[in-house]
Amino acid sequence: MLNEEIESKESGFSRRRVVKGVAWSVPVIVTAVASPAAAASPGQVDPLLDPNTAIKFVLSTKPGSPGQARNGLGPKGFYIHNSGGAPTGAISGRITVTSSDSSAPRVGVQILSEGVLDQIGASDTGFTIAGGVGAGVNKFFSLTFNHTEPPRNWVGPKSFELAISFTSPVGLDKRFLGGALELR
Amino acid sequence: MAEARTGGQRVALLHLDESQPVVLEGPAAVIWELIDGHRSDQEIYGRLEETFEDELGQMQVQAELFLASLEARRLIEPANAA
Repeated sequence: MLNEEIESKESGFSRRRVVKGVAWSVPVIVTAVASPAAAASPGQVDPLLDPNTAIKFVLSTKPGSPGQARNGLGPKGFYIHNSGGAPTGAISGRITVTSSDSSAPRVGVQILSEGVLDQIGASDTGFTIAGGVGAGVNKFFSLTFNHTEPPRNWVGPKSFELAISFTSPVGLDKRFLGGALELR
Repeated sequence: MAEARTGGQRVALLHLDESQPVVLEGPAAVIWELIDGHRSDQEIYGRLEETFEDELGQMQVQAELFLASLEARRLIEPANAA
């Protein structure tokens, strides 16, 4: 776009005349899915946590109210890359969100796409993805985190540690994803 | 860090310590272009306000979060730390 700016200035037009009026949308970092040739892991079923970007934490008591959500940083989800020749079958594991500061606000897991959480909204919950991942598929599973109501005079941000461990299927068990969350 | 552009509105970045590239499009690509080591945050927000229509008034907050996420992923760093 800045090329447009340079070309426009040289021809006597202003940048504003060229691009003003473009609707603003939330800037995001899109993670490109690695091709098999670029994949570094030798395993047949590999998990990968999406890098941190801007996310919303829904309010635990009103998860359906966008106006109650808070901004923050964290992964939008994780990938399961099945480079083997057969479907994975059901995937199960545990997600925990911890902080050295146990006071409110606390953060938990509200939604795992295509998965079932043992305890919706909890900061420590098992999960099951019954459908698994098909052969040769790199599939993304999105996570939505919640926050409990902060104290009246709370000033963020507050940092949390995210851990996702897997217990099945074989090949994915004992794998671990570690990340960070920041609630603002 | 490696950088590739397509059509001026899409930027692909690969941190050389990582194996997975990321892609910036639209406003994200514009912000990337505005980060030149000289402009301040406020100057970047000012240029965005000149460029985009922001009906919801969330532009600066969202741009701040985006810059923070770029920094968290070590794709940018404060100019005085370079």
